[in-house]
Amino acid sequence: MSFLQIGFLAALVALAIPIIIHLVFRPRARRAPLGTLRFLQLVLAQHARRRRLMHWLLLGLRLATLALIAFLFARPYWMADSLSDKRTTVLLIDQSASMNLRLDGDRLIDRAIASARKLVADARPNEQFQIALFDHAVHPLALAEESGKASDNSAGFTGPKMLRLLTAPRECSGATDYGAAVAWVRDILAKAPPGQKRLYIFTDLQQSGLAWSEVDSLPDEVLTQLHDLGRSAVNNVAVVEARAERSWVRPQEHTVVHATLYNGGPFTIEELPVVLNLSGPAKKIELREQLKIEPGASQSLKFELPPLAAGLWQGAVSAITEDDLPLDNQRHIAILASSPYQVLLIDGRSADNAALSATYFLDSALRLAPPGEMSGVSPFEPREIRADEAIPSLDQFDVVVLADVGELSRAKAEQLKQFVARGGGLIGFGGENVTAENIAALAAVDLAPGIVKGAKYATDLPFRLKSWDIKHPIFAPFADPQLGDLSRLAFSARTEIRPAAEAGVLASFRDGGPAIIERRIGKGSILWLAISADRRWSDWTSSRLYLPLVYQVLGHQTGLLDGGRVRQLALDGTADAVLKPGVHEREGYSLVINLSSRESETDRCLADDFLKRFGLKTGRNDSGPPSETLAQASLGSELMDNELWPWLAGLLLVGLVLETVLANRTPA
Amino acid sequence: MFDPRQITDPAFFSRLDNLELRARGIVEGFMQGLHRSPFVGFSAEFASHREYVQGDDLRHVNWKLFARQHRLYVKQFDAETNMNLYLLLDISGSMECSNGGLSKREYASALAAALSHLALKQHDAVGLILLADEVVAHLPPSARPHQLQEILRVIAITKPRKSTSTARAFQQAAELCKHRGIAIVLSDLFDDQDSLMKSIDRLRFARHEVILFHLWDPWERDLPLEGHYRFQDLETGETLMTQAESVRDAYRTAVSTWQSDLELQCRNRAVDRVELCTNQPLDQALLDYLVKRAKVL
Repeated sequence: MSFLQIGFLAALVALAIPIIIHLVFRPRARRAPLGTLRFLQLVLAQHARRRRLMHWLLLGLRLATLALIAFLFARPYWMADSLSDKRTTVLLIDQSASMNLRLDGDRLIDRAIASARKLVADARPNEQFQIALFDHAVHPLALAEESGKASDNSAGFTGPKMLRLLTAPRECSGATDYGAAVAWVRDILAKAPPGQKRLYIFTDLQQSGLAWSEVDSLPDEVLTQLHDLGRSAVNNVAVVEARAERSWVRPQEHTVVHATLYNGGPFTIEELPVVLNLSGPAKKIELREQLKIEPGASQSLKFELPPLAAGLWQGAVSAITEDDLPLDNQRHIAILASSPYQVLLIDGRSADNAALSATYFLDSALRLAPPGEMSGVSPFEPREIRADEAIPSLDQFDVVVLADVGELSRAKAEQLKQFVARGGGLIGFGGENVTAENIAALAAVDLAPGIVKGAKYATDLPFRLKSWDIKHPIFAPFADPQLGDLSRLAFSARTEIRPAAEAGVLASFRDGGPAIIERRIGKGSILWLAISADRRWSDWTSSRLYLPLVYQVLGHQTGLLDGGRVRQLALDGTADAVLKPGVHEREGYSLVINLSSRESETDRCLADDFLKRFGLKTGRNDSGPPSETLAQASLGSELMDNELWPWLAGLLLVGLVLETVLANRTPA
Repeated sequence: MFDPRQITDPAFFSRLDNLELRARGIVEGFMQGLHRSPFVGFSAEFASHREYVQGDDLRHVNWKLFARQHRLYVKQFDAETNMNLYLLLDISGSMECSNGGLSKREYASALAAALSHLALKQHDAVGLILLADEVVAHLPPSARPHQLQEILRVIAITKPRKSTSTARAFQQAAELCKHRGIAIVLSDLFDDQDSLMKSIDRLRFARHEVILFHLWDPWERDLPLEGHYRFQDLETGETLMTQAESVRDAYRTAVSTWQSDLELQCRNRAVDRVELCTNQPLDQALLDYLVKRAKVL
């Protein structure tokens, strides 16, 4: 227990009053002569012990009453964290991009780390620390740390080691997601040992970090100290968007880059230079524009690019200005000028009429623009060969499609196997040629989806799809039957396959037979469809579902569904925590990483709103930096949650009543 | 300071005369035949006969006359007598308690004067013994008219003593009460009950009829006080401080218990004990006693 107004304890001197009354000043008695005192002596002798006890009780009660009054004015509060109790302290340190702002020359993140280090350095014995830096994700610093066991290295991290780990990151680039951080705290404290639980949050209270996710409130016993490190006025200009109209173009094709800039400062910027820099395989492009932006407003512009030579063009759109947060003054961009995905269609049915070939409808579909795309250019470029022809070098192809391909030579099977192992995609369609005997070569090189038994024909009812994995990217567009009900497709026959153990069945027929099977092999994968790609077993080629399903299957095997060859990523909720802004080369694609545009919005929320938003209970700050709550409470303008005065007032009332009763019943 | 002349106040004695008349009227008037006069025992000389009425003492029936005339007559006696009345007046320190207006000694003195007056009016001999730790003063019984003045003079000139030693004082008093008579003790009886009863027994052994006028000060009996008081024992000087209201109930219980014990002892010895409080009117108290005694006798 401690006191907010400790000066009032001086009132305890008043305890001398009842002592003086009892011991020094005797009651002023009137004189009464009596003929004999024998009766009084008899009575008083009988009650002497009780009277003496009552006197001491009365004295004690009066002393306690005065002490209670003194304590009441001293405003005691319950210091639940006695030295003997265990305490779990969680430090949450905001390391989002906005924490790069500087205050008095120091970055906010540096100030936060300094405050946190002081808390750790001043830790009490038996105090466990859980420390995490957070942006759009939570990065726990260390496991539970008992700072009181600094000498026991085998028990875990020592206090000095924790201080060594607790250093400011060189660059903060993540978005702010308070919800994720508070959820992490809730999980950590749920597993914490019994005892007091405290949460210290060091942040700039960025408004945009509030609305990301819903979080349950922390338990009531968790006391939170909010350390607001933010700046009240920030002059910030940001490039919040830089986007090529098409980030994957054909060589020598034109495209346009759209950029949006935001003025977060208090003044209008009349002429803001905006520069687009792009570096190609053998050339650099620099385009300049100027913008006028009102305070708090956004302004867009576009850069017309010249024809781009084949290759990856990467660069950034930059705002040429000096502001408080330089990190968001540029936004990275990448444009790939290359040919589309190369698809090799191997037709297993050698028909004289092209329209009767197994790949006719596939070839036609892949040459069309994908559904919903504005551009008329297909991302696929199919090339068709017959199964008995020699397979060209597969290095130039991204996907190979086997359409009703029966017997293949062992050499071709080996060639396909190497192609898949390198990361290529193989797609197989069923047909009458796909029999157990014919598939033997592929099975020999482990390219079969399982045990293929051959064609199975429908008798009374056609085969229809019954179920499919709606979480798989292929079926994402078909999750809602309103957009396309795959179960309406009817097939007169299907290839009967018993899937391999490591294969996954993505879709099934009503009779339980697998319709689509996926199997990972090496870096690539094979995708087997137990239906024909043409009209032999179904007229689904004329269905409005044919084109989307084919594109989904091809898109999955080429990586188009994952974003294509140039992928964009903002550092927010879905991004990997260790990524940094820039253009990064990945296997088969380029990844353009930029800051979350939310971080450029430096508007701050009120501390009370923040606490209310997450249901946080404020508590006393006894070892950390002075908090607003404590400061207000110490001025007497606010009550703390754990003050004891209501109890003391109740006790005082009871004491006064008892004193009155006892005093009236106690003989002198 | 007690002025003995106040008890010779004509108005007071006038009230006593009225009292006597009232008592006599009560006892010998309309209550004739139902009760005996408290002083009937003082007279011994035959006066006349009257016809028996219901309630008359059969001891006074003249059986010889009944044998001759076959009618019942009772004998009547003159008031003249030579019976002795001994007034034993306590003048110890405790009798100086005067919280009810008069002190107990003053009240007892007035009572003694009244009794003397009544007795002398019936031509009885009245004697006075003032006692404390010993017999302080002694006036032998006499029926002379000036005996009352003598009694008052002795009371007035005798100084009260601080302490009481009942046994010794009553032993001396018993030796002084040589002839059979009525011994009236006027005291607060604040002494050990066994010693007190032994002293009374001495008087009873001397064939005296003993009457105890037990005097109380109102504070002593009821403790009707509020607040802190320093109580002082008037005999020993000892003091004791307490809050009156907090011990009042227990005090009254203790007094009541003591009174009950004393009453029991008196009844066992056929001794009249009359409680009087100094805030009671004296004549009223005396009348109450006479009526009470008349009923009992």
